[in-house]
This record gives sequence, structure tokens and C-alpha cells, in this order.
Amino acid sequence: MEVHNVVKRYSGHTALDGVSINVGKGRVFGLLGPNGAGKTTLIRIINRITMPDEGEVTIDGHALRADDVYNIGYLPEERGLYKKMKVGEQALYLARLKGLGKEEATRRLRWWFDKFDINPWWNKKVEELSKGMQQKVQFVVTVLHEPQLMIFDEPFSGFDPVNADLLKREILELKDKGHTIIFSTHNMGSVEEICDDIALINHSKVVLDGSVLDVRSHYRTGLYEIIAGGGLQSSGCFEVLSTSPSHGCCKYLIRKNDRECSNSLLLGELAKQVEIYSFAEQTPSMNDIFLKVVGGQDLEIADYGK
Amino acid sequence: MESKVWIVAQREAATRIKKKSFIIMTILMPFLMAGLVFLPLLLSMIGSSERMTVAVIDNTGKYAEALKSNDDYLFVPTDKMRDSFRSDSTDVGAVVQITADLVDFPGSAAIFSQREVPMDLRGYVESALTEKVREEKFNRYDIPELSSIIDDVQKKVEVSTIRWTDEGEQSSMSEVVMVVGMILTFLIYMFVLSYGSMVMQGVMEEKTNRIVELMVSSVKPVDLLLGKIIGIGLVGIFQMLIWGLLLAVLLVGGSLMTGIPMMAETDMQAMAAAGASADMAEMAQLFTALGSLPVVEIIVLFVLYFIGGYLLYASILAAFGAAVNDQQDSQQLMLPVMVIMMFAFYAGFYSADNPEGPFAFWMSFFPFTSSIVMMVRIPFGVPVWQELLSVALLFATDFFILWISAKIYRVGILMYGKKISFKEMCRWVKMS
Repeated sequence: MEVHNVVKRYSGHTALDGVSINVGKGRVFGLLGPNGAGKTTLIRIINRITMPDEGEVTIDGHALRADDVYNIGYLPEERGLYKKMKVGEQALYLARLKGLGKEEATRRLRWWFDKFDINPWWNKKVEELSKGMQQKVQFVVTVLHEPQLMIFDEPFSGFDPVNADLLKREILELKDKGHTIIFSTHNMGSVEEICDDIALINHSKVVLDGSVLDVRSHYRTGLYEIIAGGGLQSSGCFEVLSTSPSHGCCKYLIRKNDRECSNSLLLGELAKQVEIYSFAEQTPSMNDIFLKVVGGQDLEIADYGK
Repeated sequence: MESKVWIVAQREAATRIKKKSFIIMTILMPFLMAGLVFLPLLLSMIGSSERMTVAVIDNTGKYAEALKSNDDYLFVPTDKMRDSFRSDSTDVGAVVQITADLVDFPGSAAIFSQREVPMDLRGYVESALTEKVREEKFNRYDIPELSSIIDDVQKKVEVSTIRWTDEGEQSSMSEVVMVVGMILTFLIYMFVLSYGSMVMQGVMEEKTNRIVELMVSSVKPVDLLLGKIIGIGLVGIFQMLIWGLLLAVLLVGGSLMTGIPMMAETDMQAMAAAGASADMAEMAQLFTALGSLPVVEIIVLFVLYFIGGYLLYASILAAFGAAVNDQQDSQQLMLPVMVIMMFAFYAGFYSADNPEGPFAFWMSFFPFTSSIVMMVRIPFGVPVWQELLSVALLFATDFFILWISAKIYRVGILMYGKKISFKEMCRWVKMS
């Protein structure tokens, strides 16, 4: 699925300004960005809920059509259920609206309810469930008709760590079955764990995109933590930033002077001086990258703070 | 694959019909209505359980006989006031005391009682004594056979109303027709209003609870709107059907039980000949008048006008429900709709006096009032071309309004946090 140059203007501001993303089949795509950056607007455009002012969305090479929407499972950020309806009835109703037959829908729902261990909820009224519990039901309904493309808007918000973990595993399982998944989140930990690709939207523009590995290596800091015996001095290749002795060895924080210098080369230089016990590159977390790109904070300083 | 509109409609109907309040209302209402018709009749047939004993002390000796005992009161002439009348153990409920000739001293009659004197007793005694005094006064003029002359003079002229119909002449009661018209107007007003606002409530529930967010990825907003309107409308027709059936069963059952024939005029005459009570004869006449109404026409048009009126107001209210953010905003938008509906209701109610007048005539074609005003005219008989034209106009307007509403609905249902004005809504209509 591709989004080309989408522009969406509302009176007074531009919600999306020339946004393009490319979501590969069978990949998990994370849509990141601060609140109000335009993530939900983009998701709504992909779902044909709102129409873009410019640009287009294509799926499998053709422009998005009305009936493509039925191959999309969409879990909106602001989601609700009929409070007075029973959970089972409601899930069945939503499933039938997705085009499933009554029996087929019931069978699949029972399977999912078993899997999530929520069968006792079937005859409860929705208003008796907590928000997180409702969210589980909504998730089940979203994926029930096994759409090719699944879009989750903030799927982790409102979940406790146990359920968030359950959800992560479900997403990975869906990916293994060949589904394409797009989700937006603020939960950077989950991004590192499950996303293949990301796009970071800030101020209505994509400011960063690519695979998680590429992004992280692009933001390499050139900082290393070394635990070694003996005294380490700065050399032409690296600079020692701090030294903290402990139990007969020393912990050093060093910075590579030359980006082109490979890790093996660096290791060789280090080995000339000291006995190395541990060598760890300080790769930035997605959280750090997010803060750097969005907040304009200096990554190195952020790192020193740790 | 089933149509989504139909799936939505099924849910809308099922959740409402399963509600306890709906079941209770639907079953109880016909009993209440039938009760209103039969209860007074049954009560009058049973009569009051106890007669009140009333002592009469008549010093003149002329009036005691004028107070005749009836089902409610037993008048017992007594010579003088006794203390025992005041005691708690007495079975005398009241005492009528006449101290002087009422012809000369009209103020010399009084009723004594330990408790408050029933209005009914006072009225009865007053009219009996007045009649007697009048007779006395006439007698003083000493004109031979005066009382029979007076009886002759006081004969009332009764005008019967007869309608020419295809089946021939039929006696009718214009009061009955008028009341039936008013009841029909009231009923259709209630139906359209309550089911129309049900649609609005439903739309607002979906919007404020953000259910619609979850729905729009699988249902087109227009399908959702249509499904809701159809589903709730079906509930309305269902309720109407049950009420109609139950009421019919109850009325027929009730009339059999109380022994009042519903149709046959000959039976009525036979009954009158057999000396049936005046109440019974009146009821029988009422039923005959009801029977002479075009019942099938009324039922068919009632359902048609309900559908038409409901579609009209439900579409408007659904669009408003989608445009607002909360209950308070909705009140503001509801107001103009309510004003139009109230106007239609009053127009209908007052047209009952003059169903052929120009006001009633034009209002029964104007789509926003026609469903309500036409109902009052139908029992009086309306030419078929007028009925057809009015219904056609109504449904044409329905589709136009529905089309506009769908546009407003589609935009409004996903728009949050913004206060929506009529101007804004007009822009949405033009936009899409």
C-alpha cells in the first residue's frame, strides 16, 4: 500500500502536507508522531473516512476504491460500543456488518473469545466491562474478518502491561499469517519490538521513515561503553569521554572521532591498549530518536543524562 | 450477502423491542384505553354499593313526597330533629330540613350532615325542590291543564345527522366523528414525535460514544442512517399493529361482555323498546356511529401518514443529531422542529371544528403538517384525489429531505468539538 503526496487542509491549518509512505505487504508499519501531528488524519484517509485534498492512496497498485475498505480492518483511536448491548450480540452485529455470515461469525468469535479467555463476557452488557476489556472486544472485531490490511490507531493505550504484551504477540502472529499491519503509537518500546518499518510524522510532514534498523543505524551516536582492564587513553581514532573505575577494571565511555571508522577497526585500536571485557555500541533507542527528531534535542546530551 | 441496511435495521428494531419499557407500554396501553371506554359504563351499571339514608323533616308537609328515593339515596320522612342523628352510631347520613313554605321563603331548606354534604345529594335535593316549587307557583295561576301545556311547550327538537354514502343513508354522530379525528391527530402526533426523537437519540448515542468510528469502516454512513430510520420505523408500525389488534379484541370482547351490540341499528331499537337504560342506548348509538366510520380507510391512511410524517421528521432530527456534540446543543436545534410539530398539532386539533375550512384544507397538503392535519379530516370523509395528492406530496418531500439529511449526517457524524450552526450545515449540503 502506498500513500502519495497526500495533502489535507482544514480551515485554518494543514493537517497533512505532502505525506508519502510506503507500506510493504506483510510488514508491520509503525506510524509515530506527537499528538496532533496528523497520524489519525492519515489513517482516516487510508480508510476513506475523509478524502484527501490532493494526492492519492493506492493499494496493490490501483487507486483505493470503496470496496477496498472491506479488506481493511480498522481499530479507531476513539472507539465505543453500544453500552446497553450484550458483548456477544454486539460483536456478532459488527462482524455481520463486515460481511460475515451469522454462523461463520459466531464460530470465529467463539474461537477468539476462547483465545483471549473472555468467554464469560459473552452475555455481559458492554457497560459492565472496563475500558481495557472493551478494547479487547474491539480488537477481536477488527481482525475477525481477516482483512489483508489491518490498521490500529493507538492500540496500546488503555492496556495494562500484561494485555499490551498479549496484543504485541497477536500483532506478530497476524504478521506471520501474512497480514499487513499499520499502527500508530506513542509506545516506543513496542515499536522496537514489533515494527519492521516506521514513519515519523511531525507538524503534518513525514520527517523520518524507513526500516527500524536503518533508522537506528542512521542515528548512531558513535558512542561506546567499554569495560576493560588497564588505562585507556584517547587516540587519533577515538576520544575517552569519561572513566569510572570499579572492581579492578574500568568503565569507559568513548566516542569515535571518525564516522567512517568501522567497529572492527576501533576494536583493534582499543585492543592495542587494554584488555577488553565488554564492548557495547550505544545505539539510540527509538525513544531517543523520537525525542531528537521531534523535540530537536541533542541526542548526545540526552545520552549523557543517563 | 445480506444488505447492510437491513442488518442495521434489524439491530435497531431488536434492541428496542426487547426493552422492558417497550414491552410493558405496548401491552398495557390498549388495556388502559379500553378501560377508559368501558370503566365509566361498568361503574354506572354496578351502581353505588350503598344507599345513603337521608332523613327528611318537612314542617310544611308539602315537600317530603317530592324527594323520591333512588339508587343512591333513601329519603325517610321524620317528624323532628333528633339528637341521635348527630351520634356516630346513626345510619342516617344526612338530614334535609324544610322549615317554611319554599314558595314564599325560598331560603328555608337546609341539609345537615356530620360529614361534608355530597355535591350530588345537594344537586339532587335542589332540583327536586325547585321542580316542586315551580309546580306550586304554576298552580297558583290557576290555569286549567297548565302542566300539560307546559310539557307540550318544552318539547325539544332533535336534529339527526345523516351522511349519504355509497351504501345509502347512514345516521352519524358528528361529535363522535370529531372526537375520533382529534384522537387520530393526537395519536399520529405522538407516534411521529416519539419515534422521530428516538432516531435522534440513537444517532447522538452513536456519535457521542464514538461507536460510529468503529462502524464507518464497515458500513457507509448513509446505510447506517437508512438502517436506523427503517429499523425504528418498523418498531413504530409493530407497536401500532399490536395496539390496534389488542384494542379491537378488547372492544369487541368488552361490548359482548356488557351486552352492547356494536353495529346493528335494529338491535338498538329493539333494545330501546325493551326498555334498556338511557346509558346503554347512548353507548349503543356511539358504537353504531363508530361502526359507520370508514375504518379501513382510516387504518391504511394512518399507517401511510405515520410512515410519511415519521420519515420527514426522523430525517431532520437524525441530521441534527449528527451535527451536535451533546444534549444541550441538540435542544437548541430541536426547538424549531418542535415549533413546527406543535403548530401542526394545534392546526389539526382546531381543524376538527371546521374540517372543510381553507386552513385545514391547505394544511393537509403542506408536507410538514399534512400527516397530522389530514388525520382529523379523514373521519369526516375526504375525496380520494386529495388523499392521494397529500400523500404523494408528503413522500416526495420525504425523499428530498432524506437526501439532504444524509449529506449533513455524513459530515456531522465524524465531526467533533465544533459547534454547528444552520449555516454550517447548509455548507455541508452544498459541499458534497
